[in-house]
Amino acid sequence: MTAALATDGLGHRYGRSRWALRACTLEVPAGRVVALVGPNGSGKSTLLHTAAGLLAPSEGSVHVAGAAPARSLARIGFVAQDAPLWPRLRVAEILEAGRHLNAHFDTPFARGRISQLEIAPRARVQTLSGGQRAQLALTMVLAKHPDLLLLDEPLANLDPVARREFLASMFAACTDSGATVVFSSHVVAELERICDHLIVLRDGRVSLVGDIDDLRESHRIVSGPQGWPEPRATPVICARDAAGRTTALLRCDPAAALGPGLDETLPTFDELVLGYLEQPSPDHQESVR
Amino acid sequence: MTWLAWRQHRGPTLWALLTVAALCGLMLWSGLRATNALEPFRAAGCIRAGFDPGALRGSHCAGVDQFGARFNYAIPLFEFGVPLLLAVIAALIGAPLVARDLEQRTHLAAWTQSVSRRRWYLSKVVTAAAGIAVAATVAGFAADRLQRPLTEGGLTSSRWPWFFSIDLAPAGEALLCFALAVAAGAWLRRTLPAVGIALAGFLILLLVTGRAVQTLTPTSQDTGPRPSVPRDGWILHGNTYHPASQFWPLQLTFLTVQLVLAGTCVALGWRAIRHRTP
Repeated sequence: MTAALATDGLGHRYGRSRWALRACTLEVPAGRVVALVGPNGSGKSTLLHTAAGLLAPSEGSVHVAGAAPARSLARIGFVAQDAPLWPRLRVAEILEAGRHLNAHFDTPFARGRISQLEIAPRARVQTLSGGQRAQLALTMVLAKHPDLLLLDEPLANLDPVARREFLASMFAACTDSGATVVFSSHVVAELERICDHLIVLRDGRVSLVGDIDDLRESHRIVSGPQGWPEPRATPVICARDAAGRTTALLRCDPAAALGPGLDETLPTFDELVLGYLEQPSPDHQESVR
Repeated sequence: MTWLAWRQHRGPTLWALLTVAALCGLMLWSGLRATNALEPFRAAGCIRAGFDPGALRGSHCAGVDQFGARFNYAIPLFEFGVPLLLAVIAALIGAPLVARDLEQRTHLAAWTQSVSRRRWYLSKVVTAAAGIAVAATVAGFAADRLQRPLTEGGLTSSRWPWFFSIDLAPAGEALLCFALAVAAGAWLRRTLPAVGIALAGFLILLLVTGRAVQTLTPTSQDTGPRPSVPRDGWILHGNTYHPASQFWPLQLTFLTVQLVLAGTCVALGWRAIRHRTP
């Protein structure tokens, strides 16, 4: 089966030498809800922009359901950071624009969703709250019934209540549509409930990718006396000392025994993500050795 | 796509159309008044080839020299006003056409619908250009209707500057200024500087191309003890003129030059859009 989104050695370079994304190889199976996580400037937006056909790869390739993104625009729904929409247009006119710009645009669905969200069709976009505008932008792309939905930091400018509502309604809409969803965020806490696949980017490179359940199974949080573990003996992702003990996130074979005197547990989603975000960068590790 | 382009820019476009309509109305009204004012002199046979209003003083044609003073206002208002006003309108429509979307980041929404980037750009440009071409052509023919009686009345010694305000010339000029503004907006990503650059660039190109059309094409000279330039000739200065038979070839040449330059600008704008990173 063709992956909903596949990249192979994908890289994008701004100017001559500034690589925003490099050697990115991954496959997202159809139907997954993917959290794309990484610090600011780690290449999240660049990856989403290349997948949405907005950026041409400088090297490697990106495919959406087996085709180049620029040729599959009708199958991709993309909402940019801050959900930019024409500020002087009215809500109903935004949907009208969607109808004119897309051969297959489900206007009744879009109108229904807008009235469900209690957004006035006569309101101008510039008078909407950040949450309402994000919802309107999401509605506009959901009405395309895309196979792949790409959302760039949809939660960034929402207050906690709006964020919770947005996530719930986004999850419901995505499950109904059966689309593959990739959304980027640097807010980790809320993602676990709705995501089943994870991509962690660091400095323009993929540092972790996979189904969340598999990833949790293949990692351990191990706590032992201070000074443990041996830096080179085990695949330590990151370690920290607290209250005379050292706690570390390890990548390991589920069957392997780690040794006596150590407490091991499966990492939670947060522990897994934060562990990879805190992982010393490869350059740093090199210099330590 | 045309629907969105129209919806996004309809406010300024309607204002522009109203302004051009008012300008045309004013020109037709002035033209009618000028024709009426000339009527008695025409009936008396005072308007003929190469007449010199000064020589007619004291004859039954006296008073035709009053005509110039009465319609003097039309020179700054229409002869130079038509191309300038159309250029300003074209720049104000062209500059935000692409730049406004880039400023508001709404290009990200537009470019990720099912419409290709090329179609987005071309639809916008072609829709706006068609409207500008129609409006400027109407204004050009209204200006032609005005300049006929004014020339007959011997308003100025040089008829040539009218060449750039009448018939097809205004359409070419407006389209060139529009295309300059679109390209400047696409490269600068800002509306206001694009308006300024487009107007400055347009004035330079108009001077250069106007000068080229005037000097690179053959002129006629009428010499003799009492030079008499044909009444329908296009006097450059003194007794140098382009004969009337050259008028349409010159208009078409000028229009073609403007359109080629405009097309180049649109292509340059497309280069900026095609390689635009988000």
